[in-house]
This record gives sequence, structure tokens and C-alpha cells, in this order.
Amino acid sequence: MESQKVDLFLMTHSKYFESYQIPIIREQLLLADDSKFIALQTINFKEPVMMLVVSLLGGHFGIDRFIIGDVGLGVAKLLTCGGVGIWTIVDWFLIMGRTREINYEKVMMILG
Amino acid sequence: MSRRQLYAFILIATGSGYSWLIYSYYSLGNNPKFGVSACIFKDITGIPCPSCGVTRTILTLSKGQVWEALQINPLGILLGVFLLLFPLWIGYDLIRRKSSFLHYYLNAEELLKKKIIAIPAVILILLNWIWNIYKHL
Repeated sequence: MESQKVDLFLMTHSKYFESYQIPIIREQLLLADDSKFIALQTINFKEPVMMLVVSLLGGHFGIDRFIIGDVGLGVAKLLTCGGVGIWTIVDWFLIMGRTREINYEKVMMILG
Repeated sequence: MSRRQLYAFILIATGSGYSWLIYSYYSLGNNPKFGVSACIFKDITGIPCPSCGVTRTILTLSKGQVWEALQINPLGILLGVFLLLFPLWIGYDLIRRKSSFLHYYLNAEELLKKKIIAIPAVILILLNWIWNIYKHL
């Protein structure tokens, strides 16, 4: 892929990833061919700040975990009153990092 | 989630679940109507959450009173089955060096993401929640 295209993608999507992941994604994007670009545009990225808001409001019911795709953990959180309230609070601090990690996994799944 | 992370997480979670149950068993005594509330949502709003009453359900179930347990909160029976089954399954996997639990866990996650299963599940949880509020759990 052209470096101009890659930089444009990274500029518009940098908020979805951890800072240390960006050089790895850039490297992989430069190696990938153009057909992957459209696939990348169709990925439904989750916004970390939005997930923090969801976690603050609905974390007790595991809604944050359901939305980012950790359905198993969401069920566990729902069935235990948000892990007796402790897990709910722990997730307020973890959910943004986990969201970025999941976004990174989605990109890596396409780039192989 | 890797196999090691998942297995460690489930073992810690079920371990704390059992500790909580033992604590509740001795603190509640023979009357499961009184006890410490573990639910922040209920403490703040006064409304029970969808999973309020699961401790009482499991404790009632452990005495063999299935019908009474079902009337407190049916989700407790589901959680009870998980608590009983998962540590045994993971133990089997660890001894045999297999990943069957991880495999089934990932498949179950994919299954629950399908709308045809997710929507009825959400409706059931909501109905159960309304029932919880109605019962003043």
C-alpha cells in the first residue's frame, strides 16, 4: 500500500489504538496490498472513550463487555451483579485498553 | 483471550464464588432472607438488579429445594451449574493437556453474538429482571 494512504488511515484512526501498536500497524499496512484497504474501511471499530461511558453507566450489567465482543465475560459480569461491584469498578480502568486491543486484533485479522 | 488467561480467570472466579457461598452460608444461617447485600446497584437505587438473589438461589438449591430455588431467581441455577461444571472441566483439560473448554467457550461466544439467540436472551433477562423487581428481591 502507498505510504500516503497508510498515513491517512493512521491519522484518522489513531484514537482506536494504543500508541505502541501504531508502528506495527503501519509496517503491516505498507506490506499489504491495496485490496485490503477497502476491507479495513469496513471494520466496525469501537471508540475507547465511548466504551468508558458505557462502562460507567451499564458496566454493572456487563453491557460494556457485550458491546466490545467479550460476550463470555459479559455473561459472567451480568450473572454476578457486576462481580459483586468490584469488577465493575476495575473495568472502568481496564475497558479503554481492552477496546483498543480488540480494535488492534480486528486489524491484524485482516492484515494477517 | 489465551487459554492460560481464560483458565486462570475462571479458576479464580469460581474460587471466589465458592468462598462467597461459604461465607454467605454461615452468615445467613438457615434463613436465606437476611444477609449482606453484594449489589451496589441495589444499595444505590433500591431496585434489585437482574442477578440479585443468585446467592440465595444456589444456597436453596444446595438444600435440594429446586422449586423454591427457581422462584427466587432462575439465573442462579444457571450460575450454579457453571460453578459446578467449569472447575471440573478445566481440571480435566489441564490434566489431559487439552483445550476443549477454550474451544467450547469461543464457540458459545460466537453463538451468543448471533441475533437470533441474542435478542431472545436479552428479552428473557429483561423479563426476569421485571419479575425480580416485582418480587422485591
